[in-house]
Amino acid sequence: MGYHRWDLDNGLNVVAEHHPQMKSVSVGFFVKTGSRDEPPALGGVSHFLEHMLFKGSAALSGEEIDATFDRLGAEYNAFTGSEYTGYYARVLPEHLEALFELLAELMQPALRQQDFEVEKNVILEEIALYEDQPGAVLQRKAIATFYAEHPLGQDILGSTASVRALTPEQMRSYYERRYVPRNLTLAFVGNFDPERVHGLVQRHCGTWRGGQGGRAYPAFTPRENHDRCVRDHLSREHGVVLCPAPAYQSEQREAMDLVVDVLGHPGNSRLHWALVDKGLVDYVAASYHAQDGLGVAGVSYSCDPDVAAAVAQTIQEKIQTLVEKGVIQGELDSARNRVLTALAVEGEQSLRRLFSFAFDFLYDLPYRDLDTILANFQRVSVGAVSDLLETFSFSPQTQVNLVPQRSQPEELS
Amino acid sequence: MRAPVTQFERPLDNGLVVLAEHHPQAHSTAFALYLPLGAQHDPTTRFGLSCVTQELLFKGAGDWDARALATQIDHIGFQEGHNCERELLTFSGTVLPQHLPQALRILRTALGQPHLPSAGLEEVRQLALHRLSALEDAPAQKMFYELGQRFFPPPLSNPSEGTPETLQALCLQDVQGCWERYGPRGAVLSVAGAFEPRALVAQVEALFGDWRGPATPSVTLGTQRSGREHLDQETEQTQIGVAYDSVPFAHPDYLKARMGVLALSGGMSSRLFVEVRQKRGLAYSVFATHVTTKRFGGVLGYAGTTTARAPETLEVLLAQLRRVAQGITPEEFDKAKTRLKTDYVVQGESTRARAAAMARERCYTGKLRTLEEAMRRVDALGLDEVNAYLKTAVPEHFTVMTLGRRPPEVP
Repeated sequence: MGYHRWDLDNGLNVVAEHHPQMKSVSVGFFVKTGSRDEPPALGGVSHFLEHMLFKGSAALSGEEIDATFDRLGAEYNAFTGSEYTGYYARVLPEHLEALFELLAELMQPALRQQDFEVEKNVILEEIALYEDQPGAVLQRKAIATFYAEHPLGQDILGSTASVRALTPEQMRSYYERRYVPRNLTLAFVGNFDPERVHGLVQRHCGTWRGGQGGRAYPAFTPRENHDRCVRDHLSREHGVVLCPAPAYQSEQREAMDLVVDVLGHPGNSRLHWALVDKGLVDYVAASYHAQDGLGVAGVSYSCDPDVAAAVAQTIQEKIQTLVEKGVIQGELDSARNRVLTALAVEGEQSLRRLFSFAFDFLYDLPYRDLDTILANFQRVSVGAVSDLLETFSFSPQTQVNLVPQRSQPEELS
Repeated sequence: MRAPVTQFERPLDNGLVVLAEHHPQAHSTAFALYLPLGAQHDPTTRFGLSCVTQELLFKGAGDWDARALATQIDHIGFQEGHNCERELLTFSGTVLPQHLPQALRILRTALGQPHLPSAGLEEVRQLALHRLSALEDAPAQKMFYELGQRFFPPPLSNPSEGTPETLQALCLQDVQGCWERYGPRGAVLSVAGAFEPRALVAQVEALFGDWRGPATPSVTLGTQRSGREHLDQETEQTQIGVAYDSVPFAHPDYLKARMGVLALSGGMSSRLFVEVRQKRGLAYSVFATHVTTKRFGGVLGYAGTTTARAPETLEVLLAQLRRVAQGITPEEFDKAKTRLKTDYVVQGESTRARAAAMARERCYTGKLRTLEEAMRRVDALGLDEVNAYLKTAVPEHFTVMTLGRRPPEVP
């Protein structure tokens, strides 16, 4: 396995991890831009733009782009988050050059008016799709409440109104400001010839130009929030608890990963035994999302409205015990052992490895190979977890619930 | 130099078929144990029984209660998974190679010495009821739950999740009876990844050699229901599911049928994506997929779209499914071939995917192929024979299930 990193003159950051035993190669352009980087009036532009990249460049139509990906047998897709947008594909090694030429072309979209109008309908359908998923509705609402005025509270999809109002000119200007080489990480993982990749990148990306990129980092002060939203045509009560957690750049990230696992890993965790095993909820999980300079952890669940109060109380008790007493060695080892197997699997598959490999660079961290990541997890001790929980004590909390109409008897009386 | 992948098969005396594929470069080892049981064996008054029984295995077995069992699993970082399908009961796992013997021991204990406690049954029953109720908040899943019960021929149409009434009716005696049907006859255990081949066979024989069980009773398939049905639900989008008959995995025409489906839904240049999403912007999610059990194959088409656009979406969806009978183009044929072959190569990167694919193929066809043989079969296919098959496979009797504010007007 070999690691390579080089910057083009225009500032494009290229990283490559060579695994000659893999049967495929994966490539991704990762842009340091997402909903947090949008002017509030352009809500959803990052995600809409991600769709528009597949609609063609000056030289290629959308149909030609799609057909080329499919001819190469590529597994490909794109995603938009609150602070990054990614375009990736996996192919057999013999198709790498053709694939890369296509991906580089994709990154230079034409943003044609007619394509824009058709794709706007697809985006509105995607918004409608998530409207029918209460868990997703709640998650978005909880994040918006937790981050309040901070740009990390801005919704990734945007609203129906903000998407309807977007114009190709606004999108073009956003693209030109954000998709600059300095905001891009280009990553290769798998079976490829490192020498050829150098030439390939220079040939297709060497002439790209653009400004500074970067992003704003306004201050954020977390607060207590409680919100209950009553909703028609809902069967279960859905709940989310959110609280501050270490940033992506923090050295406590691995400890936090293990803590949320101990608290709420589906299958074996404190919340599993207290709630799922007792037949009280159909779903409960703790999660942790490390972000650029900030982080958020939380618990989400869905249950019968009749037991919702008891479920919410149990979750608070489990959090309280965790914060006061920390974790025990056996639990920590269990959580860690799950990670060890997951890392072994990650090292076998180019597409799995691509994301964790590339993300470190989006967050300006140095390269870490799988052994280093493993060692970081090995280092987490019971004491280190207690230290973490002193700083990040699962408070202040944002609690948001989505409640079926019929379970509101106290308001009827 | 890469060390070659080698494959072998060893039947045990009790009928369990052991398959192994050695990947010397792998960092993990995966296994899959498939039993020829599944939801098709649930009596009509006991839908959900197979699934509940399988869950109960993990509520305590051997010297371990539920928690101790979960601790054993996590102690070795055993990524455990199990599923109750229509025609198979599956158990799978991925571990670091040194933990394979212990992972198999845990699985053997859960299968052979489950406590099947009554308190556990109540907990599993409650969870199953909650999950059914959660379907009400998941419109796409609910539509597929309903579609499956109409489209598959009984008893393959049995809902493995159960229904509220049948779940309430389950008792420990039912569970005990269901568990007593478990056994090695017709079962397949496959292992893929890094392991010591000779030690593996000895371990499996020591652990599973004394396993006994009855032969699986044969089940006759009944007739499906075609036609249109609609469920009223106040949703933003109408969920549209369309299904028609195809051939199962073991059928000689299976790959030809898959190629037809890949022309419909094999990437962003495929027909459904282009016609429904790219040209008309009717849906975000639209696809078709080939589904297969051992004895039955079908094609499912799906689109989710806002209420007003549902009639047009259904019309376009049905027209595209019908049009495949006219054949696919040389370009679609080439793309489908490349897709199938690439999927096979990439499957070789994942020990879990490989173990699962080997077990499934052996259960469905009674044979096992290497990845190279599978690819040669794809290479040997010609466009003319694919199109000749598609011409005979005209979808005639659609089962259409929709869920939303109102039924899409018949176009």
